[in-house]
Amino acid sequence: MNRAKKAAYLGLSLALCLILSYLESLLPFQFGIVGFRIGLPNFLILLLLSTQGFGSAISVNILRILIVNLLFGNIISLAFSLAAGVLSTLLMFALLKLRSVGFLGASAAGGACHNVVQVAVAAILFKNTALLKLCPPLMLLGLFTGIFCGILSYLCHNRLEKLGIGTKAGNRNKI
Amino acid sequence: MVKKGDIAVISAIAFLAAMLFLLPFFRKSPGKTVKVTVNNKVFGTYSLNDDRTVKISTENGRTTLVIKNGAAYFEGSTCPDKLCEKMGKLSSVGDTAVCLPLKTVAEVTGQ
Repeated sequence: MNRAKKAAYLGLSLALCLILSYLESLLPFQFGIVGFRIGLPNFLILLLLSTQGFGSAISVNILRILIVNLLFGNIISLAFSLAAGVLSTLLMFALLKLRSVGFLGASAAGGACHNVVQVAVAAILFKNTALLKLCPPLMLLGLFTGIFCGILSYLCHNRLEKLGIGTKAGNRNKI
Repeated sequence: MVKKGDIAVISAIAFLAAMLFLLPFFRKSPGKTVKVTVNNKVFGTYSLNDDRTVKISTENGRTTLVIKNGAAYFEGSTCPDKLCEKMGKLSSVGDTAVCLPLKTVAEVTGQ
Protein backbone atom coordinates (compact mmCIF):
# COMPACT_ATOMS: atom_id res chain seq x y z
CA MET A 1 0.00 0.00 0.00
CA ASN A 2 1.35 3.44 -0.78
CA ARG A 3 1.34 6.20 1.82
CA ALA A 4 -1.83 7.94 0.70
CA LYS A 5 -3.75 4.70 0.44
CA LYS A 6 -2.52 3.63 3.86
CA ALA A 7 -3.51 6.96 5.42
CA ALA A 8 -6.99 6.64 3.97
CA TYR A 9 -7.28 3.03 5.09
CA LEU A 10 -6.15 3.80 8.65
CA GLY A 11 -8.46 6.83 8.77
CA LEU A 12 -11.39 4.63 7.82
CA SER A 13 -10.34 2.06 10.41
CA LEU A 14 -10.18 4.76 13.08
CA ALA A 15 -13.66 5.97 12.13
CA LEU A 16 -14.98 2.42 12.32
CA CYS A 17 -13.30 1.95 15.72
CA LEU A 18 -15.04 5.09 17.00
CA ILE A 19 -18.40 3.84 15.75
CA LEU A 20 -17.81 0.47 17.43
CA SER A 21 -16.86 2.20 20.69
CA TYR A 22 -20.09 4.18 20.55
CA LEU A 23 -22.09 1.11 19.55
CA GLU A 24 -20.95 -0.91 22.54
CA SER A 25 -21.72 1.96 24.89
CA LEU A 26 -25.33 1.59 23.68
CA LEU A 27 -25.58 -2.08 24.61
CA PRO A 28 -28.23 -2.44 27.30
CA PHE A 29 -26.72 -5.40 29.15
CA GLN A 30 -23.71 -5.15 31.46
CA PHE A 31 -23.72 -8.60 33.08
CA GLY A 32 -24.01 -7.00 36.49
CA ILE A 33 -20.70 -5.16 36.28
CA VAL A 34 -20.47 -1.41 35.95
CA GLY A 35 -18.37 -0.41 32.97
CA PHE A 36 -18.50 -3.84 31.36
CA ARG A 37 -17.61 -3.73 27.68
CA ILE A 38 -17.09 -6.37 25.03
CA GLY A 39 -14.14 -4.53 23.51
CA LEU A 40 -15.55 -4.51 20.00
CA PRO A 41 -12.97 -2.01 18.65
CA ASN A 42 -10.37 -4.52 19.74
CA PHE A 43 -11.23 -6.85 16.89
CA LEU A 44 -10.35 -4.13 14.39
CA ILE A 45 -7.11 -3.37 16.22
CA LEU A 46 -6.25 -7.05 16.03
CA LEU A 47 -6.98 -7.05 12.31
CA LEU A 48 -4.75 -4.00 11.83
CA LEU A 49 -2.00 -5.61 13.92
CA SER A 50 -1.91 -8.61 11.66
CA THR A 51 -2.30 -6.83 8.33
CA GLN A 52 -0.83 -3.33 8.73
CA GLY A 53 1.79 -3.89 11.38
CA PHE A 54 2.34 -2.73 14.93
CA GLY A 55 2.86 0.99 14.26
CA SER A 56 -0.44 1.43 12.44
CA ALA A 57 -2.42 -0.60 14.94
CA ILE A 58 -1.11 1.17 18.03
CA SER A 59 -1.52 4.64 16.49
CA VAL A 60 -5.13 3.90 15.57
CA ASN A 61 -5.75 2.47 19.05
CA ILE A 62 -4.19 5.43 20.90
CA LEU A 63 -6.08 7.93 18.74
CA ARG A 64 -9.33 6.02 19.30
CA ILE A 65 -8.83 6.00 23.07
CA LEU A 66 -8.00 9.74 23.11
CA ILE A 67 -11.02 10.67 20.99
CA VAL A 68 -13.50 8.38 22.74
CA ASN A 69 -12.46 9.61 26.18
CA LEU A 70 -12.49 13.25 25.12
CA LEU A 71 -16.01 12.79 23.76
CA PHE A 72 -17.60 10.52 26.35
CA GLY A 73 -15.21 10.13 29.27
CA ASN A 74 -12.96 12.00 31.64
CA ILE A 75 -9.28 12.16 32.57
CA ILE A 76 -9.51 9.18 34.91
CA SER A 77 -11.16 6.95 32.33
CA LEU A 78 -8.49 8.13 29.88
CA ALA A 79 -5.74 6.89 32.20
CA PHE A 80 -7.45 3.51 32.57
CA SER A 81 -8.10 3.05 28.88
CA LEU A 82 -4.73 4.27 27.68
CA ALA A 83 -2.69 2.03 29.98
CA ALA A 84 -4.87 -1.00 29.27
CA GLY A 85 -5.11 -0.32 25.52
CA VAL A 86 -1.38 0.13 24.95
CA LEU A 87 -0.32 -2.86 27.08
CA SER A 88 -2.89 -5.24 25.63
CA THR A 89 -1.96 -4.17 22.08
CA LEU A 90 1.70 -4.86 22.88
CA LEU A 91 0.82 -8.30 24.24
CA MET A 92 -1.37 -9.16 21.24
CA PHE A 93 1.42 -8.05 18.90
CA ALA A 94 3.97 -10.25 20.68
CA LEU A 95 1.62 -13.25 20.60
CA LEU A 96 0.74 -12.76 16.93
CA LYS A 97 4.47 -12.88 16.17
CA LEU A 98 4.42 -16.50 17.29
CA ARG A 99 3.48 -18.68 14.36
CA SER A 100 1.43 -21.07 16.45
CA VAL A 101 -0.82 -18.39 17.92
CA GLY A 102 -3.65 -16.98 15.83
CA PHE A 103 -6.33 -14.34 16.31
CA LEU A 104 -8.17 -16.34 18.95
CA GLY A 105 -5.29 -16.78 21.37
CA ALA A 106 -3.93 -13.27 20.89
CA SER A 107 -7.36 -11.71 21.36
CA ALA A 108 -8.14 -13.79 24.45
CA ALA A 109 -4.82 -12.82 26.04
CA GLY A 110 -5.38 -9.19 25.03
CA GLY A 111 -8.83 -9.14 26.62
CA ALA A 112 -7.61 -10.66 29.88
CA CYS A 113 -4.59 -8.33 29.95
CA HIS A 114 -6.80 -5.30 29.30
CA ASN A 115 -9.00 -6.04 32.31
CA VAL A 116 -6.12 -6.88 34.63
CA VAL A 117 -4.28 -3.67 33.72
CA GLN A 118 -7.44 -1.63 34.36
CA VAL A 119 -7.81 -3.14 37.83
CA ALA A 120 -4.09 -2.59 38.48
CA VAL A 121 -4.31 1.07 37.41
CA ALA A 122 -7.39 1.51 39.61
CA ALA A 123 -5.51 -0.07 42.54
CA ILE A 124 -2.61 2.35 42.01
CA LEU A 125 -4.73 5.46 41.43
CA PHE A 126 -7.00 4.80 44.42
CA LYS A 127 -4.08 3.39 46.48
CA ASN A 128 -6.19 0.39 47.30
CA THR A 129 -4.76 -3.12 47.01
CA ALA A 130 -8.11 -4.71 47.88
CA LEU A 131 -9.22 -3.95 44.33
CA LEU A 132 -6.75 -6.54 43.08
CA LYS A 133 -9.13 -9.19 44.39
CA LEU A 134 -11.33 -8.40 41.39
CA CYS A 135 -8.57 -9.64 39.08
CA PRO A 136 -9.48 -13.33 38.63
CA PRO A 137 -13.16 -12.87 37.65
CA LEU A 138 -12.36 -9.92 35.38
CA MET A 139 -9.54 -11.93 33.83
CA LEU A 140 -11.97 -14.72 32.93
CA LEU A 141 -14.47 -12.19 31.61
CA GLY A 142 -11.75 -10.63 29.43
CA LEU A 143 -10.86 -14.10 28.21
CA PHE A 144 -14.40 -14.72 26.97
CA THR A 145 -14.92 -11.31 25.39
CA GLY A 146 -11.45 -11.68 23.87
CA ILE A 147 -12.33 -15.03 22.31
CA PHE A 148 -15.49 -13.45 20.89
CA CYS A 149 -13.48 -10.61 19.31
CA GLY A 150 -10.89 -13.09 18.07
CA ILE A 151 -13.57 -15.01 16.18
CA LEU A 152 -14.84 -11.74 14.69
CA SER A 153 -11.31 -10.82 13.57
CA TYR A 154 -10.78 -14.22 12.03
CA LEU A 155 -14.03 -14.08 10.07
CA CYS A 156 -13.37 -10.52 8.89
CA HIS A 157 -9.81 -11.35 7.92
CA ASN A 158 -10.94 -14.23 5.72
CA ARG A 159 -13.55 -12.14 3.95
CA LEU A 160 -11.20 -9.18 3.45
CA GLU A 161 -8.58 -11.50 2.07
CA LYS A 162 -11.00 -12.93 -0.47
CA LEU A 163 -11.88 -9.40 -1.54
CA GLY A 164 -8.21 -8.42 -1.55
CA ILE A 165 -8.79 -5.43 0.73
CA GLY A 166 -6.22 -4.32 3.25
CA THR A 167 -4.41 -7.60 3.63
CA LYS A 168 -0.84 -8.07 2.56
CA ALA A 169 -0.05 -10.89 0.18
CA GLY A 170 2.29 -13.32 1.88
CA ASN A 171 1.19 -12.04 5.25
CA ARG A 172 2.88 -14.23 7.78
CA ASN A 173 0.06 -14.11 10.26
CA LYS A 174 -2.30 -15.65 7.78
CA ILE A 175 -4.33 -18.43 9.29
CA MET B 1 -9.71 -21.36 12.95
CA VAL B 2 -8.26 -22.61 16.24
CA LYS B 3 -4.53 -23.13 16.35
CA LYS B 4 -2.56 -25.16 18.87
CA GLY B 5 -1.05 -22.02 20.36
CA ASP B 6 -4.50 -20.50 20.83
CA ILE B 7 -5.59 -23.37 23.04
CA ALA B 8 -2.33 -23.15 24.97
CA VAL B 9 -2.72 -19.39 25.54
CA ILE B 10 -6.39 -19.65 26.52
CA SER B 11 -5.87 -22.53 28.93
CA ALA B 12 -2.83 -20.81 30.45
CA ILE B 13 -4.90 -17.70 31.21
CA ALA B 14 -7.82 -19.74 32.53
CA PHE B 15 -5.42 -21.69 34.75
CA LEU B 16 -3.78 -18.48 36.02
CA ALA B 17 -7.18 -16.97 36.81
CA ALA B 18 -8.25 -20.15 38.62
CA MET B 19 -5.05 -20.18 40.69
CA LEU B 20 -5.42 -16.51 41.64
CA PHE B 21 -9.03 -17.25 42.53
CA LEU B 22 -8.16 -20.23 44.73
CA LEU B 23 -5.08 -18.69 46.36
CA PRO B 24 -6.94 -16.98 49.24
CA PHE B 25 -8.62 -20.25 50.22
CA PHE B 26 -5.27 -21.87 51.01
CA ARG B 27 -4.33 -19.44 53.72
CA LYS B 28 -7.42 -18.85 55.77
CA SER B 29 -7.49 -17.92 59.40
CA PRO B 30 -10.49 -16.61 61.28
CA GLY B 31 -10.66 -12.82 61.40
CA LYS B 32 -11.28 -10.67 64.46
CA THR B 33 -12.36 -7.31 63.09
CA VAL B 34 -13.75 -5.85 59.90
CA LYS B 35 -12.35 -2.56 58.65
CA VAL B 36 -14.51 -0.38 56.45
CA THR B 37 -12.96 2.28 54.24
CA VAL B 38 -14.89 4.82 52.21
CA ASN B 39 -13.03 6.83 49.59
CA ASN B 40 -9.71 5.60 51.02
CA LYS B 41 -10.56 6.98 54.45
CA VAL B 42 -11.14 4.61 57.35
CA PHE B 43 -14.86 4.69 58.11
CA GLY B 44 -14.69 2.42 61.10
CA THR B 45 -13.41 -0.84 62.53
CA TYR B 46 -15.86 -3.27 64.09
CA SER B 47 -15.41 -6.51 65.99
CA LEU B 48 -16.79 -9.59 64.27
CA ASN B 49 -17.84 -11.00 67.64
CA ASP B 50 -20.53 -8.39 68.27
CA ASP B 51 -23.64 -8.65 66.11
CA ARG B 52 -24.59 -5.22 64.78
CA THR B 53 -25.54 -3.33 61.64
CA VAL B 54 -23.58 -0.32 60.43
CA LYS B 55 -25.23 2.18 58.13
CA ILE B 56 -22.79 3.61 55.61
CA SER B 57 -23.74 6.60 53.52
CA THR B 58 -21.41 8.08 50.94
CA GLU B 59 -21.76 10.81 48.35
CA ASN B 60 -22.55 8.10 45.80
CA GLY B 61 -25.14 6.09 47.70
CA ARG B 62 -25.90 4.13 50.83
CA THR B 63 -25.26 0.63 52.02
CA THR B 64 -25.43 -1.36 55.22
CA LEU B 65 -22.79 -3.62 56.70
CA VAL B 66 -24.30 -6.43 58.74
CA ILE B 67 -22.19 -8.29 61.29
CA LYS B 68 -23.74 -11.53 62.43
CA ASN B 69 -22.33 -14.76 63.90
CA GLY B 70 -18.72 -13.79 63.24
CA ALA B 71 -19.25 -12.79 59.61
CA ALA B 72 -19.79 -9.44 57.92
CA TYR B 73 -21.68 -8.77 54.71
CA PHE B 74 -23.19 -5.91 52.77
CA GLU B 75 -26.92 -5.54 52.50
CA GLY B 76 -29.36 -3.11 50.87
CA SER B 77 -26.76 -1.29 48.81
CA THR B 78 -28.02 1.44 46.49
CA CYS B 79 -25.32 0.75 43.89
CA PRO B 80 -26.50 -0.59 40.53
CA ASP B 81 -24.47 -3.78 40.31
CA LYS B 82 -24.76 -5.11 43.91
CA LEU B 83 -21.37 -6.76 43.44
CA CYS B 84 -20.50 -5.99 47.06
CA GLU B 85 -23.50 -8.01 48.27
CA LYS B 86 -22.66 -10.89 45.97
CA MET B 87 -19.19 -11.14 47.50
CA GLY B 88 -20.91 -12.90 50.35
CA LYS B 89 -20.00 -13.31 54.00
CA LEU B 90 -16.59 -12.17 55.15
CA SER B 91 -15.12 -14.06 58.08
CA SER B 92 -11.48 -14.98 57.38
CA VAL B 93 -8.45 -12.69 57.46
CA GLY B 94 -8.10 -11.00 54.09
CA ASP B 95 -11.72 -11.53 53.04
CA THR B 96 -12.79 -8.41 51.18
CA ALA B 97 -15.94 -6.99 49.68
CA VAL B 98 -15.55 -4.03 47.35
CA CYS B 99 -18.26 -1.68 46.17
CA LEU B 100 -16.78 0.29 43.30
CA PRO B 101 -19.68 2.73 42.79
CA LEU B 102 -19.66 3.70 46.49
CA LYS B 103 -15.85 3.49 46.75
CA THR B 104 -16.43 1.39 49.84
CA VAL B 105 -14.26 -1.52 50.92
CA ALA B 106 -14.77 -3.90 53.84
CA GLU B 107 -11.79 -6.00 54.80
CA VAL B 108 -11.41 -8.55 57.58
CA THR B 109 -8.24 -8.21 59.64
CA GLY B 110 -6.68 -10.35 62.32
CA GLN B 111 -6.34 -7.67 64.99
